[in-house]
Amino acid sequence: MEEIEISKKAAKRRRQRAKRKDKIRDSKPIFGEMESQQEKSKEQILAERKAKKAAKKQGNKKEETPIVPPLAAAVSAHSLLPTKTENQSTSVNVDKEIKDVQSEKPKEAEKKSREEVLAERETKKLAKQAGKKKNVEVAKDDENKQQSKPKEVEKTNSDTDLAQKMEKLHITNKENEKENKPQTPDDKNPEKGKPMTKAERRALQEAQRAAKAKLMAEKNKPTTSSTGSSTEKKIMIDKKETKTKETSHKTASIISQKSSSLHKVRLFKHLYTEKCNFNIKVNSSFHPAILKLGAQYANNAVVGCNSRCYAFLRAMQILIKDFTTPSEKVFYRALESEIQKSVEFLHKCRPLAVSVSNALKYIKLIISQENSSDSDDEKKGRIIDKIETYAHEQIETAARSISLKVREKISDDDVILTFGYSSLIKRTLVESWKSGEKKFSIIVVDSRPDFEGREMLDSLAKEGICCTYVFINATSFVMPKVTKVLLGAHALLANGYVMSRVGTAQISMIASFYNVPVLVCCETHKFSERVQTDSFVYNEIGDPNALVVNKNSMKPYEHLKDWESIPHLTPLNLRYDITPPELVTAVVTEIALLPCTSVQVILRVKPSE
Amino acid sequence: MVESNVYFTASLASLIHDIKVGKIVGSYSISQAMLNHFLSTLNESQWSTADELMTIVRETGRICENALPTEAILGNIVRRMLKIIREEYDELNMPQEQIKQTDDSQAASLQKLVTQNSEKSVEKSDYKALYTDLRENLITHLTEIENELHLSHDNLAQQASQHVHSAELILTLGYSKSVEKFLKSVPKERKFEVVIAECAPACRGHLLATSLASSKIDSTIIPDSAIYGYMNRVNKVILGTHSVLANGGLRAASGAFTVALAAKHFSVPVIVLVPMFKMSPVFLFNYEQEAFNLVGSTQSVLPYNTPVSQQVKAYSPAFDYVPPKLITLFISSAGGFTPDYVYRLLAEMYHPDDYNLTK
Repeated sequence: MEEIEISKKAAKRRRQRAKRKDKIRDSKPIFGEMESQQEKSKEQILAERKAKKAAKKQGNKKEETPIVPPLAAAVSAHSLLPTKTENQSTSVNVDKEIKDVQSEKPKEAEKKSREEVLAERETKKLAKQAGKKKNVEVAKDDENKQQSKPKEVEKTNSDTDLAQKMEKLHITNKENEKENKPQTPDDKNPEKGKPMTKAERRALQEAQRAAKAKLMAEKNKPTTSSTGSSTEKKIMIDKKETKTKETSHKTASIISQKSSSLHKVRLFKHLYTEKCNFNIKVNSSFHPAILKLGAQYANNAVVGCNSRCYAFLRAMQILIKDFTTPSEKVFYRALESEIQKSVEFLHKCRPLAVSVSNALKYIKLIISQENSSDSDDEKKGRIIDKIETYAHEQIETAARSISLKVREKISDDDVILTFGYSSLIKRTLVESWKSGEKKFSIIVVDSRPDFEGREMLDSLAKEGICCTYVFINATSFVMPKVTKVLLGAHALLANGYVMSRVGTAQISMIASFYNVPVLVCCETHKFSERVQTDSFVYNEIGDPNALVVNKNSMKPYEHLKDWESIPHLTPLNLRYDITPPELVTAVVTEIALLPCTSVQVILRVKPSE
Repeated sequence: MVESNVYFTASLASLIHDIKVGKIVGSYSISQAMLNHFLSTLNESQWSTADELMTIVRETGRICENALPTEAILGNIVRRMLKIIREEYDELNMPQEQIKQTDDSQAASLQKLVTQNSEKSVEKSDYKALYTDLRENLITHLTEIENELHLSHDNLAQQASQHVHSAELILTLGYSKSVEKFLKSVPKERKFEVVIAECAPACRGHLLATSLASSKIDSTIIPDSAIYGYMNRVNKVILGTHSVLANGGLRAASGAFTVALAAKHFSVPVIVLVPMFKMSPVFLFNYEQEAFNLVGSTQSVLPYNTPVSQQVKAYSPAFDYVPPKLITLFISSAGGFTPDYVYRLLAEMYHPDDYNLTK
């Protein structure tokens, strides 16, 4: 029963697909350049899928409806997709054997007739498209298959080409599999990615099934196919053996990934994200500036709320500068969707900082205002200018203003305690010192695993400021001497809580125990409308391996060396914590020195939102 | 100065040396070594009366306290030793009927408490009488103490089931043998989780975490900076300590203050595991941390080869003072008690005259 149902579904799908294809062909001239490219690529994949299907059909020639089983398999493969946890275990196998999928090729050779029919069909469709080129170029193009340009070129109808494409397809897919596919379903790209993996999975399942069939001597499978699969299997094994070196390290990494799913703290399960170690080649539909920024976010090359925001604004400027409105599209809508897409990608690399999402809100706002009849270049110029002004006002000018305000509060012989690295605090302290009005000393508190305070210490000591350096657990040791605590913030939440690097709350707590005033410096562009009262609901989890390495000696800690092999052991590297307003004396913003509780007022007053 | 002291024997010198260079680590092994030292003193040194022996012991304590000011345990053992000498002597010195009386009065502890001092002041003994049995009795008593010491961790651990319930989230700091044993002896069917602050720069928390994880207890390691963030979900804080001070405060690993304060902030009970030999009748003053702290090498905090290390100061304090008001409960081998009760236990364990050894 089930099979019949599935086959029905499969048939329906095919019909839909055919329809879609027609549509695509019709819509092509109307759609903008970008879209058509994507659609084409989709078509190309469909073609490949067809070819594969055909390849498999040969195995099941004797059956009445030969198309059904592979499709059913596809359906089942598809239904597997969403359930990630189950899939994880299978994906290991899949990954291991992807290379072996190439062994499907021999099948193709045997079954030209079918393929030819299919190919002919393809030809008809593709005839309308631009001229076709020769195999050499095709091969080359296939390598950067996901790049949009040479799509039409690949639509040739010869079998060898198809075979080659298949091969290339698998190789690219292999990469894809590793990259964890950072796209979202509403992107156009994933649709491109998914069918491939589906096809591949189907192929694999087929191969496995065939192998099983042979072993169990099943009746409905024809002997020819089973013998064919047996040879396939041999090839598989051979390849496995020859490629053990490559695969071994690959599987090791996969296993570690898998076991790391064990190492999740129950309270923070909602915060674990799949690590995005993307390959730039794969997602070239994004602007290079965005890709670069994404890489910088993901590798912690750009850290700190302000620098992240600044880098984002710069990337956005470049993106907007290079943006061309697709024909038949409204400028601001197209730009907005383009930005949205890029931002989603960036979010995958690392959850957006509050400053960045505020900047994004602002950019969207100014873009939506650009619906006049001016030329695109004028609009773009205006937007870029406005972004420039935003960067200047919200980051640069605000910092200067805060620096001046804090300077007023520093008195002679102050001992100022600060924690970690904050560009704003550094600037404030250095400027106050350089002004030469007051003599003060600084205690830099730092914590594992990132030792951000070192950077602070370096830049302060360079200025000749008298510095003391301690770890966070020694805060109570130095606190009695401290006269002021100066802290940076990641964001100020609407309920007056300060979100900042993990450890900040602790410092404020100890400071308030010793009755030391705590000043938090925070520009208003970091004010968030979110409310939160603990560090659990929203946070970021850093790389747990950072905890394992002793950054001073660059060696792993003896006891944690092989934590991944101990199932009950979990290092947890939180990035932020939340400081309640009662532990903060005042927040220094460019507008005024405020109690935390006045955040809501500022949020209302702020013009940009 | 020390070298000229007649009481500064070779064996004592080697003991101090071993502790100083870290050959003997951990309060348990230190106290064990000290007891052994006294046992040999009892047997080998030249003494005839209790008074002479007490002078030897007191001098030894003084030397130790000067050499190793932070190892309060040595002083505690010395005080304990003095106490048993007094007890044994009094027992031999007292007429038979009086022994019976004291036994009776011991039952009525409160009454004894009130009357004790006045009685003592009247018949203060000079410990100069000669008793041949004294040596024998002392050795027996000392072995008893050694046994007690030996069992102290186990006695502590036995109480684990009274304090840990299932599905609990317990936070601890660094490494403590008592905590390790305590958590491991929680009945296996009670599933609980442990969060361990690693206690940089030594990061001995890693040791505890791996040890607990290997006995199938879910353990999470967090950097010291995440203590506050984690605290509002924690059910209980269980700490080990270096020593308990006379006011009920703690001299514990650096970071303990943060833990206790965060726990207070979120009203999480703080339980401190303290084997009896860690109680010292010493008062320390909270806000002068330098007075009782030990500042370690900063190589692990700010490596000497970093260029900035020449221009800045760095500290790596070993201890934290935790005021008694942040502690909910002490658990000792004998049971639980609050910080307010510490003085009473001290009075039972040591003789008031021995509180100050350097006097």
